[in-house]
Amino acid sequence: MAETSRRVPRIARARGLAWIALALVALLLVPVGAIAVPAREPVVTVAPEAAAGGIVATVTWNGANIATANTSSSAFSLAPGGQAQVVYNWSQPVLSLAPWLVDDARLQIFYLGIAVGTRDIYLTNGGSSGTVDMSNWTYGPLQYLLEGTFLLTASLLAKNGTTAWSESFWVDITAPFYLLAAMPIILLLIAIYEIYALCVSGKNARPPKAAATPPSTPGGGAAASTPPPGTSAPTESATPEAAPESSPPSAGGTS
Amino acid sequence: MSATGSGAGCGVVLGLVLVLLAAQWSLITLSQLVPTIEYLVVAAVIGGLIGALIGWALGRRYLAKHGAVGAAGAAESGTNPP
Repeated sequence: MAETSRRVPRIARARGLAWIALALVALLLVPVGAIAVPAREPVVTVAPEAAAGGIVATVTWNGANIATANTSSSAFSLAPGGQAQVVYNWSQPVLSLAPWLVDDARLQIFYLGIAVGTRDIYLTNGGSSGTVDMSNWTYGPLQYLLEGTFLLTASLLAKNGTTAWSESFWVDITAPFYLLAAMPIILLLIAIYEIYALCVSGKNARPPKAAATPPSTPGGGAAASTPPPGTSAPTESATPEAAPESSPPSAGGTS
Repeated sequence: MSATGSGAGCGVVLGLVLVLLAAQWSLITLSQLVPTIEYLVVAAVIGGLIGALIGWALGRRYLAKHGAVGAAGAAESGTNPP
């Protein structure tokens, strides 16, 4: 009976701790939202005109200058399966001492800081001025995998691979119902499984080592000394190891 | 694995998954590496701590409800006791 009465506050304490943990989880959701706000206004270093060589370039995305989408909150939107017309225009002053000979117009899409997609249009004759039409740009197989707001970088490269000019902008790539891409579905399934595993993690609890238990017992302290509450006899010894040590009824020193 | 350990593991994974889901739903942007790593590490640590706390509390509750002997049998056999 004393054992039972000792367990009641322990259960209440465990419930209290669970509520505290739930409150912490709820509080955690607030910083996530707070983090999201500044993240939508990232600092993007835009270099519309490279100083070296004096190249002047503009890139349009479906007719709109990409400089207008230099923050994620002003990102261009691209529907699933959508295409974009990306047009590069560049020129240099006539009296430029060392004009860039642009050889490659490149568009890259970044995820987790890694360029997950790159498309190049190579020019047969590099020119100090010109126009490149990167028509029907899509993000390829990524449209079935990812969604979200992505950083894209348009750049003009010289023959030796040097970047003559580059500018970054943001594109919001959506999936139907904000869900129907592989990544969010997989993440949701993982989250559901992990929440379930967290809810049943209590079943992995190891009973605390009782004072009467010999310390060298194999099984990591599985030898518990107290019978379950509500049972009069220790009849639930499931393993041979637990059976011989479940008899002392007075070792209730678990805390 | 103890309840605290398994709870911490679940919490770490949930923290990472939440950050990636927030990115997928355009709540945060993960195109640049530096804030991405920070978000993921912070979320994993916070998720691990909270998961450990929840796992520990659930383990205590489970032991209080089912008793030490039943939990010992479950731990030995790897199955849940009735």
